[in-house]
Amino acid sequence: MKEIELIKNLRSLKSISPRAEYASHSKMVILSFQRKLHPQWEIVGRGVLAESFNFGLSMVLTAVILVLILGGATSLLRPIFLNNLPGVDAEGLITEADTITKDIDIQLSEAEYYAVTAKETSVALKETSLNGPAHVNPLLIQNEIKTLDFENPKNSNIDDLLNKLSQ
Amino acid sequence: MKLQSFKISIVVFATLIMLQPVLAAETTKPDTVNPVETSVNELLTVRDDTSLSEEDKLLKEFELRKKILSEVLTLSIDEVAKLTAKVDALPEFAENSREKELRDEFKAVLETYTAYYTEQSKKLAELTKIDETKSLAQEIKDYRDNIYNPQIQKIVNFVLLFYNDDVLKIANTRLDKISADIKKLEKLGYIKAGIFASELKLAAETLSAARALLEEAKSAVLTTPKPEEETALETRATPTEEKEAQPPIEPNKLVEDSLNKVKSTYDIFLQISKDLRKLLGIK
Repeated sequence: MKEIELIKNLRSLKSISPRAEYASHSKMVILSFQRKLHPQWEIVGRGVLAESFNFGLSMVLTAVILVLILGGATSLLRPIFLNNLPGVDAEGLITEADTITKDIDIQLSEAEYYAVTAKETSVALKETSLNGPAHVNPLLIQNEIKTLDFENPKNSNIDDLLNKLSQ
Repeated sequence: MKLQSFKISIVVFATLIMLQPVLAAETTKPDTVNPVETSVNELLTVRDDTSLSEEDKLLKEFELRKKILSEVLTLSIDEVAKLTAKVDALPEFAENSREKELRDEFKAVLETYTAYYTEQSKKLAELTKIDETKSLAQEIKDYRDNIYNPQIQKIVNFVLLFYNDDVLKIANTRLDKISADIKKLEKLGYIKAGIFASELKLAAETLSAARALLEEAKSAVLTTPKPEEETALETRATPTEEKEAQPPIEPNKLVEDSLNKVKSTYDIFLQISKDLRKLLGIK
């Protein structure tokens, strides 16, 4: 066979094509074929490590679910709950109670103060406006009584000293 | 829910911060030794002193009377200034409300008191005779007894109403928070359901009683007084009832009782907190 003939025959082969059915089937087979990584990478990616990780994760998740199902949720979350009780937080409550109590006392004593000052000022102005008998003034006598108070610690101290001196 | 609790906390914190200057900074604490009282005692001693000549006695008396008057006027001006600051620190009231009407009235009245005492201070500086000091003292005394003191009591009562209101709000918020915490713990099974029911009920009842007392005080302070004619007619219409009726409790006494109830509620709160922490094993 000459070269020209051979080329002619080969060209005629170009017109040969598979059946449509066969082509479609072959295409599906090729596409569904599982691609494999290079063996070197296979160990890391989808190999031993990945399998171990998946297994470990599954075990942990199973354990957590079991603990939660068996009523351990409250125990596990207990510290978180107990540290988040704003209503009965001892420090905050003590501070608030202390502030409120002190403020109330101040307000009440102040309200009382106005009444007391009114009385004292009235007495002072009365004494300033009057010219009554100087030696029988009730305030003067009251003050004198205070100085004669026998329960006065100063007096008892003097008595103690005198007793010691006389011994 | 969390956002709401956060908002409540912010409101309570802000209220406490706002209350501080009104409550603490402007407080008028009584002095340990009242200078007026000391001066009065000095005057009495001088008048009682027989060792002094009549001339010396009169001179010292005159100086001491002036001193007492000066101290009384200074004290009064200071009192008015502090009370004005308290009235100014009150919250904004709605236009045409009774609260605003009273606040404006009190502010105007306080200004007249400052003007009066300043005027008397000027008069005092010009006095040269002992009798003049006596008549000025009488004049100031009459003014204070009949005009100044009754009005000051009204202003103090008015200011206390809003303080009481704020404190009650804080205490009620605290009760809500405590109740929420206890409910949460009951749901989770940390504590037995209803274990704090009686304490919470007592706290709620005490706060309700405090609120009722405050409302009574409010109505006494804020109610517009009836014209004298109407009161006289009512008295004539029910003479027997009037005789039997108890005198109304003073608003300041009502506020005092209300505030003391708030204080005792905080004792309950502290006890709940203590017991709860013991139950939960928290130190």
